[in-house]
Amino acid sequence: MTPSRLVVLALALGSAACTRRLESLAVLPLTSPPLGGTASAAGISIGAGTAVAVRIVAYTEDPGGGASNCTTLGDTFTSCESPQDSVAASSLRVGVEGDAASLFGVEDDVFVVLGAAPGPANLAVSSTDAVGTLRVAVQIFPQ
Amino acid sequence: MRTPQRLVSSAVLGLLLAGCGAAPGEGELGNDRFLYACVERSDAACDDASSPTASLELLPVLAKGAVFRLLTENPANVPYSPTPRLTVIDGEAVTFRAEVAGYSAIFARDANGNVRDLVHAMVVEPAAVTLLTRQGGSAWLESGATLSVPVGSTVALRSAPADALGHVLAGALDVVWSSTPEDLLATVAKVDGNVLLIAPEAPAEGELKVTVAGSLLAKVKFVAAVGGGK
Repeated sequence: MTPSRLVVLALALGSAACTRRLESLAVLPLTSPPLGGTASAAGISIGAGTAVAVRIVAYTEDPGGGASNCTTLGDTFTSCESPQDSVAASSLRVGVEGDAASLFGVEDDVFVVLGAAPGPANLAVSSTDAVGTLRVAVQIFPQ
Repeated sequence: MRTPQRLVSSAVLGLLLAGCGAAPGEGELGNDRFLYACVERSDAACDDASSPTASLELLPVLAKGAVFRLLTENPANVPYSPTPRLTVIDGEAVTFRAEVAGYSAIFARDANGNVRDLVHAMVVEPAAVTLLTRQGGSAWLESGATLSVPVGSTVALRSAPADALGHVLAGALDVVWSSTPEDLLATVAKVDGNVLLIAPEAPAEGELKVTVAGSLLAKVKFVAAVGGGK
């Protein structure tokens, strides 16, 4: 391999190492939907014709390996967590998959999920600051 | 056990006190307030004698088929129904008709179409018509009861749609007053929406009837006599 190709490879690997990947989501309900509707990262369940407002927080694994989050215990043992960073709210991109639910923006990271018709749907969450798409299952039940 | 009249009284009291909550009219996100307003005088929620088109700070339970208006405290926002469960019948005045029983989300949207707040309206199928007389104090009348009005005095007979438990429902519905004999109504009363202002000037007798939403009927036997009823 020529030196120039090595440089290109090194740059590519370095870039890949700094690319963050979405790992998890938090879905925080901001309103209490009627009929016992619920909202969490595990799924959203609301009645047709009703709505719930949620704040969505997306997290990435720390690409730096967590060195800055290591804690030295005693002289020899070092505990390193696997820290997560939340992506900027302004970088969030949230869409809805399926006709059962509709999505309305409130703020960068706050959305209203509306039950349009009984059936399943998904929220697809991505970020301009990270790779990957995470999904939240949405179930709309009839009233 | 509570009587139907007491249930209805509680419901009316609830409507009248609808502005006394801790956070009156506040949307579920707390970014705006929703105010209910009556479109017509036939709306049982707003026909208080002193303020026939008053607005309420809490969204009352609505009758299916009823027409009502919503306002937002922030004039930059506009109430919006995201589903056909509530249809818009007047976009400028933001007037809705409740088409489907159950809960319906209503948004307050800004000029960019962003949702600033939301609220849920509860819509119930009306099952009966309640009657209330008002002459100084108020009294509930069972359908079929006798209403005696002394000649020379005035009594207001008010109708309101109610659910199967007797809870009064809000929203304007078609209200048609009639009588037997047919000319009795015009002789002794004046129609004002869901309120019949009865002021007999001579002895009369017959039946006064009200039909709400085309099919819900209530009627009273009517007697006007000099010096009091029978």
